[in-house]
Amino acid sequence: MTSRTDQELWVDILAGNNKGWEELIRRYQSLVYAVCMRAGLSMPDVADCFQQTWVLLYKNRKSLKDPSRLSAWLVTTAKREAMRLRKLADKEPEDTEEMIWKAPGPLPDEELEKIECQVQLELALGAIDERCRKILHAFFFATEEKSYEDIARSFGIPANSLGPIRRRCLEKLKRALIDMGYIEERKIDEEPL
Amino acid sequence: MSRKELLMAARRKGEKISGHLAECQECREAVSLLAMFDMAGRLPLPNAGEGMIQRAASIAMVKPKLGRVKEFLAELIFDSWTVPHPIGVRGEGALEHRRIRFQSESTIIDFRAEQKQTGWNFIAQFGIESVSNSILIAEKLKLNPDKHGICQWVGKKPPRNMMLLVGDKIIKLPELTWKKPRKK
Repeated sequence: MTSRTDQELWVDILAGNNKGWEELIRRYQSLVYAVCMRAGLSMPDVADCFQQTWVLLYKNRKSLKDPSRLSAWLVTTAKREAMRLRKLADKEPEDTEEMIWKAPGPLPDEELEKIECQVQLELALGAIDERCRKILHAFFFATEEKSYEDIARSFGIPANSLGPIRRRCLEKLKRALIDMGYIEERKIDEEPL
Repeated sequence: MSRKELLMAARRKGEKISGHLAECQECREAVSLLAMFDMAGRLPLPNAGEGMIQRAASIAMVKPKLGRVKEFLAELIFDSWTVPHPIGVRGEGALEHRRIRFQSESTIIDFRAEQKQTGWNFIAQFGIESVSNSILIAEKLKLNPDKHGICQWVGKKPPRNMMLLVGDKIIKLPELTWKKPRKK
Protein backbone atom coordinates (compact mmCIF):
# COMPACT_ATOMS: atom_id res chain seq x y z
CA MET A 1 0.00 0.00 0.00
CA THR A 2 1.16 3.48 -0.80
CA SER A 3 1.80 6.00 1.93
CA ARG A 4 1.38 9.08 -0.25
CA THR A 5 -0.41 11.84 1.59
CA ASP A 6 -3.73 13.18 0.38
CA GLN A 7 -1.97 16.41 -0.60
CA GLU A 8 0.47 14.48 -2.81
CA LEU A 9 -2.37 12.58 -4.42
CA TRP A 10 -4.26 15.82 -4.94
CA VAL A 11 -1.34 17.36 -6.86
CA ASP A 12 -1.50 14.33 -9.17
CA ILE A 13 -5.26 14.69 -9.63
CA LEU A 14 -5.00 18.39 -10.48
CA ALA A 15 -2.37 17.47 -13.06
CA GLY A 16 -4.96 15.22 -14.71
CA ASN A 17 -3.55 11.90 -13.53
CA ASN A 18 -6.42 9.39 -13.65
CA LYS A 19 -4.49 6.84 -11.63
CA GLY A 20 -4.25 9.34 -8.77
CA TRP A 21 -8.00 9.87 -8.92
CA GLU A 22 -8.67 6.13 -8.76
CA GLU A 23 -6.19 5.76 -5.89
CA LEU A 24 -8.05 8.43 -3.96
CA ILE A 25 -11.38 6.69 -4.56
CA ARG A 26 -9.95 3.36 -3.39
CA ARG A 27 -8.52 5.08 -0.31
CA TYR A 28 -11.82 6.61 0.79
CA GLN A 29 -14.45 4.38 -0.84
CA SER A 30 -15.40 2.70 2.44
CA LEU A 31 -15.71 6.09 4.15
CA VAL A 32 -18.13 7.50 1.55
CA TYR A 33 -19.96 4.19 1.24
CA ALA A 34 -20.43 3.87 5.02
CA VAL A 35 -21.86 7.41 5.31
CA CYS A 36 -24.31 6.79 2.42
CA MET A 37 -25.15 3.28 3.59
CA ARG A 38 -25.94 4.24 7.18
CA ALA A 39 -28.22 7.10 6.19
CA GLY A 40 -31.09 4.69 5.62
CA LEU A 41 -31.20 4.85 1.82
CA SER A 42 -32.29 2.14 -0.60
CA MET A 43 -29.46 0.39 -2.47
CA PRO A 44 -29.92 2.34 -5.74
CA ASP A 45 -29.90 5.58 -3.70
CA VAL A 46 -26.75 4.46 -1.85
CA ALA A 47 -25.13 3.97 -5.26
CA ASP A 48 -26.30 7.44 -6.36
CA CYS A 49 -25.11 9.03 -3.12
CA PHE A 50 -21.69 7.37 -3.54
CA GLN A 51 -21.35 8.42 -7.17
CA GLN A 52 -22.62 11.95 -6.66
CA THR A 53 -20.17 12.57 -3.80
CA TRP A 54 -17.26 11.76 -6.11
CA VAL A 55 -18.80 13.77 -8.96
CA LEU A 56 -18.99 16.82 -6.66
CA LEU A 57 -15.40 16.35 -5.50
CA TYR A 58 -14.21 16.14 -9.09
CA LYS A 59 -16.24 19.16 -10.16
CA ASN A 60 -14.90 21.21 -7.24
CA ARG A 61 -11.34 19.95 -7.45
CA LYS A 62 -9.91 23.29 -8.52
CA SER A 63 -11.55 25.21 -5.70
CA LEU A 64 -10.75 22.80 -2.88
CA LYS A 65 -8.57 24.84 -0.54
CA ASP A 66 -7.14 22.31 1.87
CA PRO A 67 -6.57 18.76 0.53
CA SER A 68 -5.42 17.63 3.98
CA ARG A 69 -9.09 17.92 5.01
CA LEU A 70 -10.28 15.72 2.14
CA SER A 71 -11.75 12.99 4.31
CA ALA A 72 -13.79 15.56 6.28
CA TRP A 73 -14.95 17.13 2.99
CA LEU A 74 -16.08 13.72 1.74
CA VAL A 75 -17.97 12.96 4.95
CA THR A 76 -19.80 16.31 4.86
CA THR A 77 -20.63 16.01 1.16
CA ALA A 78 -21.77 12.39 1.40
CA LYS A 79 -23.96 13.28 4.38
CA ARG A 80 -25.58 16.18 2.47
CA GLU A 81 -26.13 13.98 -0.57
CA ALA A 82 -27.63 11.24 1.59
CA MET A 83 -29.99 13.74 3.24
CA ARG A 84 -31.05 15.10 -0.15
CA LEU A 85 -31.79 11.61 -1.48
CA ARG A 86 -33.51 10.67 1.74
CA LYS A 87 -35.84 13.67 1.40
CA LEU A 88 -36.66 12.69 -2.19
CA ALA A 89 -37.26 9.08 -1.18
CA ASP A 90 -39.53 10.14 1.68
CA LYS A 91 -41.75 11.95 -0.84
CA GLU A 92 -42.15 8.81 -2.94
CA PRO A 93 -44.81 6.24 -2.00
CA GLU A 94 -43.29 3.69 0.35
CA ASP A 95 -42.53 0.20 -0.77
CA THR A 96 -42.99 -2.23 2.11
CA GLU A 97 -40.13 -4.44 0.94
CA GLU A 98 -37.78 -1.50 0.73
CA MET A 99 -38.52 -0.48 4.30
CA ILE A 100 -36.24 -3.32 5.39
CA TRP A 101 -33.27 -1.23 4.23
CA LYS A 102 -34.29 1.96 5.95
CA ALA A 103 -32.50 3.12 9.09
CA PRO A 104 -34.14 5.68 11.42
CA GLY A 105 -32.30 8.68 9.95
CA PRO A 106 -28.98 10.25 9.01
CA LEU A 107 -26.01 9.59 11.26
CA PRO A 108 -25.18 12.03 14.05
CA ASP A 109 -21.99 14.07 13.58
CA GLU A 110 -20.24 12.19 16.37
CA GLU A 111 -20.70 8.89 14.51
CA LEU A 112 -19.57 10.47 11.23
CA GLU A 113 -16.39 11.62 12.95
CA LYS A 114 -15.85 8.09 14.25
CA ILE A 115 -16.23 6.66 10.75
CA GLU A 116 -13.67 9.16 9.47
CA CYS A 117 -11.25 8.25 12.29
CA GLN A 118 -11.79 4.56 11.63
CA VAL A 119 -10.87 4.95 7.97
CA GLN A 120 -7.74 6.94 8.85
CA LEU A 121 -6.68 4.33 11.39
CA GLU A 122 -7.35 1.46 8.95
CA LEU A 123 -5.35 3.23 6.23
CA ALA A 124 -2.42 3.82 8.57
CA LEU A 125 -2.58 0.19 9.74
CA GLY A 126 -2.47 -0.82 6.09
CA ALA A 127 0.82 1.05 5.71
CA ILE A 128 2.71 -0.94 8.39
CA ASP A 129 3.98 -4.54 8.38
CA GLU A 130 1.50 -7.38 8.63
CA ARG A 131 2.43 -8.60 12.11
CA CYS A 132 2.13 -5.14 13.65
CA ARG A 133 -1.05 -4.51 11.67
CA LYS A 134 -2.73 -7.62 13.10
CA ILE A 135 -1.62 -6.98 16.67
CA LEU A 136 -2.61 -3.31 16.62
CA HIS A 137 -5.88 -4.10 14.88
CA ALA A 138 -6.74 -6.28 17.86
CA PHE A 139 -5.38 -3.64 20.27
CA PHE A 140 -7.71 -0.98 18.85
CA PHE A 141 -10.70 -2.91 17.55
CA ALA A 142 -11.15 -5.88 19.92
CA THR A 143 -14.04 -5.59 22.35
CA GLU A 144 -13.25 -3.93 25.68
CA GLU A 145 -13.26 -7.22 27.53
CA LYS A 146 -10.32 -8.57 25.50
CA SER A 147 -7.16 -8.36 27.59
CA TYR A 148 -3.53 -8.30 26.45
CA GLU A 149 -3.37 -11.97 27.46
CA ASP A 150 -6.29 -12.80 25.15
CA ILE A 151 -4.71 -10.88 22.27
CA ALA A 152 -1.27 -12.44 22.87
CA ARG A 153 -2.81 -15.91 22.98
CA SER A 154 -4.64 -15.39 19.68
CA PHE A 155 -1.31 -14.56 17.99
CA GLY A 156 0.67 -17.31 19.73
CA ILE A 157 2.87 -14.75 21.50
CA PRO A 158 3.88 -15.12 25.18
CA ALA A 159 1.89 -12.52 27.15
CA ASN A 160 5.04 -10.91 28.58
CA SER A 161 6.44 -10.31 25.06
CA LEU A 162 3.39 -8.42 23.89
CA GLY A 163 4.33 -5.19 25.71
CA PRO A 164 7.61 -4.56 23.84
CA ILE A 165 6.05 -5.68 20.52
CA ARG A 166 3.10 -3.33 21.05
CA ARG A 167 5.50 -0.47 21.83
CA ARG A 168 7.43 -1.01 18.57
CA CYS A 169 4.22 -1.41 16.57
CA LEU A 170 2.62 1.71 18.06
CA GLU A 171 5.76 3.62 17.11
CA LYS A 172 5.36 2.46 13.48
CA LEU A 173 1.67 3.32 13.49
CA LYS A 174 2.36 6.76 14.91
CA ARG A 175 4.90 7.38 12.13
CA ALA A 176 2.41 6.20 9.48
CA LEU A 177 -0.33 8.47 10.87
CA ILE A 178 2.05 11.44 10.87
CA ASP A 179 3.35 10.66 7.36
CA MET A 180 -0.19 10.36 6.02
CA GLY A 181 -1.05 13.71 7.55
CA TYR A 182 -3.75 12.38 9.89
CA ILE A 183 -2.05 13.50 13.10
CA GLU A 184 0.60 16.03 13.97
CA GLU A 185 3.82 14.99 15.66
CA ARG A 186 3.40 17.41 18.55
CA LYS A 187 -0.13 16.24 19.26
CA ILE A 188 1.10 12.79 20.22
CA ASP A 189 3.97 14.15 22.30
CA GLU A 190 1.70 16.45 24.25
CA GLU A 191 -0.05 15.32 27.41
CA PRO A 192 -2.73 12.89 26.31
CA LEU A 193 -5.63 13.90 28.48
CA MET B 1 -1.40 -1.00 32.69
CA SER B 2 -3.99 -3.44 31.36
CA ARG B 3 -5.75 -2.78 28.03
CA LYS B 4 -8.96 -2.01 29.87
CA GLU B 5 -7.19 0.55 32.08
CA LEU B 6 -5.69 2.22 29.01
CA LEU B 7 -9.11 2.35 27.33
CA MET B 8 -10.69 3.84 30.47
CA ALA B 9 -7.89 6.41 30.76
CA ALA B 10 -8.37 7.36 27.09
CA ARG B 11 -12.03 8.17 27.77
CA ARG B 12 -11.35 10.31 30.85
CA LYS B 13 -10.74 13.51 28.97
CA GLY B 14 -9.62 16.52 30.99
CA GLU B 15 -8.72 14.58 34.13
CA LYS B 16 -5.37 15.04 35.82
CA ILE B 17 -2.85 12.31 35.06
CA SER B 18 -1.63 10.47 38.10
CA GLY B 19 -0.10 7.19 39.24
CA HIS B 20 1.63 4.94 36.74
CA LEU B 21 0.40 6.95 33.76
CA ALA B 22 2.16 10.06 35.00
CA GLU B 23 5.48 8.25 34.96
CA CYS B 24 5.11 6.04 31.90
CA GLN B 25 5.67 7.86 28.60
CA GLU B 26 4.83 4.73 26.57
CA CYS B 27 1.47 4.30 28.30
CA ARG B 28 0.68 7.99 27.78
CA GLU B 29 1.33 7.60 24.06
CA ALA B 30 -0.88 4.50 23.92
CA VAL B 31 -3.62 6.36 25.79
CA SER B 32 -3.24 9.33 23.46
CA LEU B 33 -3.72 7.12 20.37
CA LEU B 34 -6.64 5.30 21.99
CA ALA B 35 -8.25 8.66 22.77
CA MET B 36 -7.93 9.70 19.12
CA PHE B 37 -9.07 6.34 17.80
CA ASP B 38 -11.62 4.95 20.24
CA MET B 39 -12.55 1.90 18.17
CA ALA B 40 -13.01 -0.90 20.70
CA GLY B 41 -15.67 -3.30 19.46
CA ARG B 42 -16.25 -1.55 16.13
CA LEU B 43 -16.86 -3.69 13.07
CA PRO B 44 -14.91 -3.18 9.81
CA LEU B 45 -16.47 -0.65 7.42
CA PRO B 46 -18.21 -2.14 4.38
CA ASN B 47 -16.60 -1.89 0.94
CA ALA B 48 -18.45 -0.17 -1.87
CA GLY B 49 -17.70 -2.95 -4.34
CA GLU B 50 -15.74 -2.88 -7.57
CA GLY B 51 -18.65 -1.78 -9.75
CA MET B 52 -19.24 1.44 -7.78
CA ILE B 53 -15.50 2.15 -7.52
CA GLN B 54 -15.03 1.77 -11.26
CA ARG B 55 -18.02 3.97 -11.96
CA ALA B 56 -16.60 6.72 -9.73
CA ALA B 57 -13.14 6.28 -11.27
CA SER B 58 -14.60 6.86 -14.73
CA ILE B 59 -15.62 10.42 -13.76
CA ALA B 60 -12.08 11.58 -14.51
CA MET B 61 -11.82 9.83 -17.85
CA VAL B 62 -11.11 12.04 -20.82
CA LYS B 63 -13.93 12.32 -23.34
CA PRO B 64 -13.03 11.37 -26.91
CA LYS B 65 -12.63 14.35 -29.22
CA LEU B 66 -15.56 14.69 -31.56
CA GLY B 67 -14.81 14.64 -35.25
CA ARG B 68 -12.22 11.89 -35.00
CA VAL B 69 -14.55 9.14 -33.92
CA LYS B 70 -16.00 6.39 -36.09
CA GLU B 71 -19.54 5.31 -35.36
CA PHE B 72 -20.87 1.76 -35.58
CA LEU B 73 -24.27 0.28 -34.85
CA ALA B 74 -24.24 -3.04 -32.99
CA GLU B 75 -26.71 -5.75 -33.89
CA LEU B 76 -28.90 -7.58 -31.39
CA ILE B 77 -28.06 -11.26 -31.74
CA PHE B 78 -29.69 -12.76 -28.64
CA ASP B 79 -32.44 -11.71 -26.23
CA SER B 80 -33.59 -14.11 -23.52
CA TRP B 81 -37.01 -12.43 -23.46
CA THR B 82 -37.70 -13.57 -26.99
CA VAL B 83 -36.93 -17.24 -26.30
CA PRO B 84 -38.84 -19.42 -23.84
CA HIS B 85 -36.98 -20.53 -20.69
CA PRO B 86 -36.31 -24.26 -20.47
CA ILE B 87 -38.66 -25.88 -17.93
CA GLY B 88 -37.45 -25.45 -14.36
CA VAL B 89 -34.91 -22.67 -15.13
CA ARG B 90 -35.54 -19.52 -13.11
CA GLY B 91 -33.39 -16.63 -11.90
CA GLU B 92 -32.26 -17.06 -8.29
CA GLY B 93 -34.23 -14.66 -6.12
CA ALA B 94 -34.77 -12.26 -9.02
CA LEU B 95 -38.14 -10.73 -9.88
CA GLU B 96 -37.06 -10.37 -13.48
CA HIS B 97 -34.02 -11.44 -15.44
CA ARG B 98 -32.86 -10.67 -18.98
CA ARG B 99 -29.76 -11.54 -20.99
CA ILE B 100 -28.96 -9.74 -24.20
CA ARG B 101 -26.05 -10.09 -26.61
CA PHE B 102 -24.94 -7.56 -29.22
CA GLN B 103 -22.32 -7.76 -31.89
CA SER B 104 -20.48 -5.17 -33.91
CA GLU B 105 -17.82 -6.58 -36.22
CA SER B 106 -15.62 -8.67 -33.89
CA THR B 107 -16.87 -7.03 -30.68
CA ILE B 108 -19.36 -9.01 -28.60
CA ILE B 109 -21.25 -7.24 -25.81
CA ASP B 110 -23.08 -9.32 -23.22
CA PHE B 111 -25.59 -7.53 -21.03
CA ARG B 112 -27.43 -9.00 -18.05
CA ALA B 113 -30.16 -7.27 -16.07
CA GLU B 114 -31.71 -8.61 -12.91
CA GLN B 115 -34.53 -7.00 -11.01
CA LYS B 116 -34.44 -7.44 -7.23
CA GLN B 117 -36.74 -6.08 -4.53
CA THR B 118 -34.37 -3.14 -4.05
CA GLY B 119 -33.77 -2.20 -7.72
CA TRP B 120 -31.96 -3.47 -10.78
CA ASN B 121 -28.49 -5.00 -10.97
CA PHE B 122 -26.65 -4.80 -14.28
CA ILE B 123 -23.57 -6.47 -15.67
CA ALA B 124 -22.11 -5.71 -19.08
CA GLN B 125 -19.14 -7.57 -20.43
CA PHE B 126 -17.36 -6.91 -23.68
CA GLY B 127 -14.81 -8.95 -25.49
CA ILE B 128 -12.37 -6.25 -26.56
CA GLU B 129 -8.60 -6.07 -26.32
CA SER B 130 -8.14 -2.53 -25.00
CA VAL B 131 -10.45 -2.46 -21.96
CA SER B 132 -8.40 0.32 -20.33
CA ASN B 133 -9.28 2.54 -23.28
CA SER B 134 -13.03 1.99 -23.21
CA ILE B 135 -16.10 3.48 -21.55
CA LEU B 136 -19.65 2.17 -21.49
CA ILE B 137 -22.32 4.85 -21.44
CA ALA B 138 -25.66 3.65 -20.11
CA GLU B 139 -28.10 6.59 -20.29
CA LYS B 140 -26.21 9.29 -18.32
CA LEU B 141 -23.85 6.90 -16.54
CA LYS B 142 -20.26 6.55 -17.63
CA LEU B 143 -18.63 3.29 -16.63
CA ASN B 144 -15.17 2.01 -17.26
CA PRO B 145 -14.68 -1.75 -17.24
CA ASP B 146 -12.38 -3.71 -14.97
CA LYS B 147 -9.44 -5.64 -16.41
CA HIS B 148 -11.79 -8.45 -17.47
CA GLY B 149 -13.94 -6.07 -19.50
CA ILE B 150 -16.80 -6.13 -17.00
CA CYS B 151 -18.93 -3.21 -15.79
CA GLN B 152 -21.34 -3.64 -12.88
CA TRP B 153 -23.82 -1.14 -11.58
CA VAL B 154 -27.21 -0.78 -9.94
CA GLY B 155 -30.13 1.46 -10.80
CA LYS B 156 -33.81 2.12 -10.33
CA LYS B 157 -34.64 1.59 -14.01
CA PRO B 158 -33.03 -0.46 -16.77
CA PRO B 159 -31.28 1.57 -19.50
CA ARG B 160 -32.89 2.10 -22.91
CA ASN B 161 -29.84 3.58 -24.60
CA MET B 162 -26.27 2.40 -24.29
CA MET B 163 -23.09 2.91 -26.24
CA LEU B 164 -19.54 1.72 -25.95
CA LEU B 165 -16.57 3.99 -26.61
CA VAL B 166 -13.40 2.13 -27.56
CA GLY B 167 -10.55 4.43 -28.48
CA ASP B 168 -11.78 6.45 -31.46
CA LYS B 169 -14.75 4.13 -32.05
CA ILE B 170 -18.34 4.54 -30.85
CA ILE B 171 -20.46 1.40 -30.87
CA LYS B 172 -24.11 2.30 -30.45
CA LEU B 173 -26.39 -0.42 -29.17
CA PRO B 174 -29.95 -0.67 -30.48
CA GLU B 175 -32.51 1.01 -28.21
CA LEU B 176 -33.92 -1.43 -25.68
CA THR B 177 -37.54 -1.72 -24.70
CA TRP B 178 -38.39 -3.16 -21.33
CA LYS B 179 -41.93 -4.22 -22.02
CA LYS B 180 -41.85 -7.98 -21.84
CA PRO B 181 -43.39 -9.74 -24.85
CA ARG B 182 -46.55 -11.65 -24.01
CA LYS B 183 -46.31 -15.42 -23.81
CA LYS B 184 -48.10 -17.21 -26.60
